[in-house]
Amino acid sequence: MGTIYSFKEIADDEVDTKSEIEAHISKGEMVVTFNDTYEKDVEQYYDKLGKFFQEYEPDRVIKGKMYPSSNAEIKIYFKEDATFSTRSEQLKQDVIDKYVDAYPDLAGIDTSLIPKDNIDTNSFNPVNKILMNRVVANLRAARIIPQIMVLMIYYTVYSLALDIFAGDRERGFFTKLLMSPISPRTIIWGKLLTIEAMAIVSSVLMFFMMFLASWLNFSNDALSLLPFGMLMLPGQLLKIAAICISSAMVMIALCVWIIFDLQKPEDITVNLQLPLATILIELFIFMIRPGNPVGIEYVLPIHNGMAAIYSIMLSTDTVATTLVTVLLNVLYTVLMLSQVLKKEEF
Amino acid sequence: MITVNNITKSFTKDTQTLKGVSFAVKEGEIYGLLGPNGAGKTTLMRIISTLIKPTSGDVTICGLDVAKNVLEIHRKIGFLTTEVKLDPLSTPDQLYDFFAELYDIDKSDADVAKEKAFEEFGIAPFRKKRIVDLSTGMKQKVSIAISLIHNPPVIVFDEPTNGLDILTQKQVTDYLLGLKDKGHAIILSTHIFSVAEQLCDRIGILIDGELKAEGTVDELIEYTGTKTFEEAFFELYVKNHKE
Ligand SMILES: Nc1ncnc2c1ncn2[C@@H]1O[C@H](COP(=O)(O)OP(=O)(O)O)[C@@H](O)[C@H]1O
Ligand SMILES: [Mg+2]
Repeated sequence: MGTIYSFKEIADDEVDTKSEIEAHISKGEMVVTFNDTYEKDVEQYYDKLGKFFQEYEPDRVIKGKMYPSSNAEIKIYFKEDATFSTRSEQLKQDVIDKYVDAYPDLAGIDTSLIPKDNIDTNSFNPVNKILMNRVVANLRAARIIPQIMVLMIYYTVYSLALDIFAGDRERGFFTKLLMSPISPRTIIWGKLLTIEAMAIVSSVLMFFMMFLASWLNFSNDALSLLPFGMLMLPGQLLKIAAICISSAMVMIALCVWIIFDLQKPEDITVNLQLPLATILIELFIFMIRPGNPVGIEYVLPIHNGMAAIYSIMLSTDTVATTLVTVLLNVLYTVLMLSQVLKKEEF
Repeated sequence: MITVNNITKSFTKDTQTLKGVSFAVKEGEIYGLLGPNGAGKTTLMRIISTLIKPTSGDVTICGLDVAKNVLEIHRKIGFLTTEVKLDPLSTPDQLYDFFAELYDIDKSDADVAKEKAFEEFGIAPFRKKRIVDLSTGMKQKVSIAISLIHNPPVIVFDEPTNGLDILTQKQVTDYLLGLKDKGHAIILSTHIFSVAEQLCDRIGILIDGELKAEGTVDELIEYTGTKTFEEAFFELYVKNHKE
């Protein structure tokens, strides 16, 4: 692997002149210089970056907003006639290892990105690196996670509703509960809230597993489900939580409505499985669907959960899309549940 | 204690399942509703227990109108049926504690009552087994123990011996006789006349949603001019049932 040149660090005050640098590199050494205010510049840059991201989600920034920039500068000088592999090997072993604390991060990975005599400190910046990964990862994750979340929530709701509503009624255990001095409404609410709670727990677990799947994917295998570095900001997480909670409500109401509309357990099972099949089909459609969801998609129950989470993960959501989804889901829930309660005289 | 007053029930517009049924049950009495399948016994029992609303008529229990005091009535009534299966994955212990809580029974009182009931029905060895793993008879006994957890003055029992073997049947009927002696008012329904004959103080013959005759076994035999209760039942059935 070519010659490994020895590296000699040159302090700032030692490299006053161009000729001095040239003297070093002519001997085959590499010279690394930092600008005078390097440390302060980096500090300021992080400050700026921090403030910036408190205001904007990173993906929206890409769509137009000016990214904060830094005056910090690292320059690396080396012998021009050295072969590329020699240079990169030297850079990796001598410079990167030495300056790993000064953010030499990206340099060792893709040397083609490194300009000949000037290295942009942004590309050394670990925060930037995470954000770059995040953009790619979030885009890919948006095609999978919303559907899997909705599927998971529906599955939880479906299996629990089947057991604690249809099953209890079929077994006659429901009658026994109704004969207790607890009001039927309280019993129903207890059952509904149990399902809701379990649905929330399972969606949180699911999301956490997806997060782990992404962050443990160090090698960023092209065949893996989720690329490395998927990251939601707190605001996004809150919006996703609201969507999940309201979607679970709508699904519970739908299942309960079906269960109380039909008598035979076989009919109930088939009808409850229809949404499950639909969500599965949608899972594949979302993997290849174009662009952003259109307005009507936020109106259809269950589907709107997927559409809303999808756009939140892509950071293309608006206040309206999230709000419409949540409010409509609450409305559907109230309509369906009140009809069931009225019909069953609870 | 229980008064059933001119109850009618129509599930659909053009059929009437119950056509004006009236009777009364006193303390310490077992009243039997005897009738063929489809006569409306279950429907009537469910109306008395507030589980369904009658189309017209009313039921009073301990002086309370059933329709207006639903939750109050639930504390006074124990509704049992062989169709009620318990939650299959729970154990008798768990179910007993759960229902004791639903009825707000003091924990220490409930524990004492539980030991007694489990002992009485022979549930004790199975108390930690899941309901699915119990035999039909044991399930039914657990169900009875739990339905009577609040020691209700009125007991409504739909087909008490359905699907039980003779030994369990005897245990259940003996238990009901014991409750009667303690002053509980009991209504039970059955399509088996021997059960009615053995257990009931008075029997109402329900055919096609109407109470065709009512009285003690002897009175019914006398009323129909037959020799045995079996003959009396068939006589009434043949006379009143329209195909
Ligand atoms: N929920 C219901 N909806 C419609 N018809 C019913 C319902 N429950 C019972 N029936 C009808 O009422 C009649 C009496 O049924 P039921 O009270 O179960 O009779 P029994 O217990 O004496 O065998 C039957 O013809 C049955 O079809
Ligand atoms: Mg019946």
